[in-house]
Amino acid sequence: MSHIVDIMLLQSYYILKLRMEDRNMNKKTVFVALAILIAVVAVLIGISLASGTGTTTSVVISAGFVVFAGIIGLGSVYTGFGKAYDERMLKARSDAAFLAFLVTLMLIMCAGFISNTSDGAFPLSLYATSMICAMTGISTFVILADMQDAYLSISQKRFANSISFFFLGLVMIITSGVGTDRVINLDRTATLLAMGIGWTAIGLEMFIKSAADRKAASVEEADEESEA
Amino acid sequence: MKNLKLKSARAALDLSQQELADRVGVSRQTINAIEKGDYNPTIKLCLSICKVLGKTLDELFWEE
Repeated sequence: MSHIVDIMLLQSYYILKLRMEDRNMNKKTVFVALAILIAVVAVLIGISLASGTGTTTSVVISAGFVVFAGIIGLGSVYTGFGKAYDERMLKARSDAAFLAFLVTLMLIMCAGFISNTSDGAFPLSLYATSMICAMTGISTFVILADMQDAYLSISQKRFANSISFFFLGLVMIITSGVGTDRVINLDRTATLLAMGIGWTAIGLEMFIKSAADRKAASVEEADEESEA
Repeated sequence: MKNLKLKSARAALDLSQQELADRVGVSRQTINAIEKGDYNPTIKLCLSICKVLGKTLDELFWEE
């Protein structure tokens, strides 16, 4: 449970930081998205409670996710500062978001069919599978957005960010095995591995991009000097 | 396709990519992407760049 909180806190820091760069999001679209989320979460909780498998923890965590989405969405409506973005960055984010959504969607579909055709022998639980799909989607979005310089705050401190992501990713991979209770928990392992591999990949991409940017900047400088 | 006309016009005014970007109101990466041919700017951005560089659309963005 504690690693879920850690993951959410870290992710929320970066998401909120990136959302603050944008202009105010359209109110209507945010409210419709939140309404859809609340409706489907309510159905899922209703099913679990009706079947007698629902617990207070599951309701609280689900409500927590909805509140988290609400904070991001409503925060985007009312607190966007509108600084430092242009049309190219907007398109880059849009492309990254669409492709990440496509990857996540196809992963979920694949996971569902693989599980369905394995006669109940699929080793990963629904929880672990969903975490893998979600983390892959998030990592895909961040990598694609950074490749196209969609966020200035990341671009300006790319090397430092790459070290942070790389280090955090490695820590998650290392701690994915056995926890403090010395018991292997497949759900925790799958979650931390998915998260760790994703973040390590992000760190690696940022490192490569920062090296490429430095090289391009020196070529550009030499070019401009020769023109002068 | 690289936009060498834009690069030349910028160099003629002794502007760096960052300086041009600041005057136009976009990021340096956007100016770089336009010059390298990696991004097709909208007409609005094209006009902003033309105003700053004192050139017409044909002079900067017409493909020959």
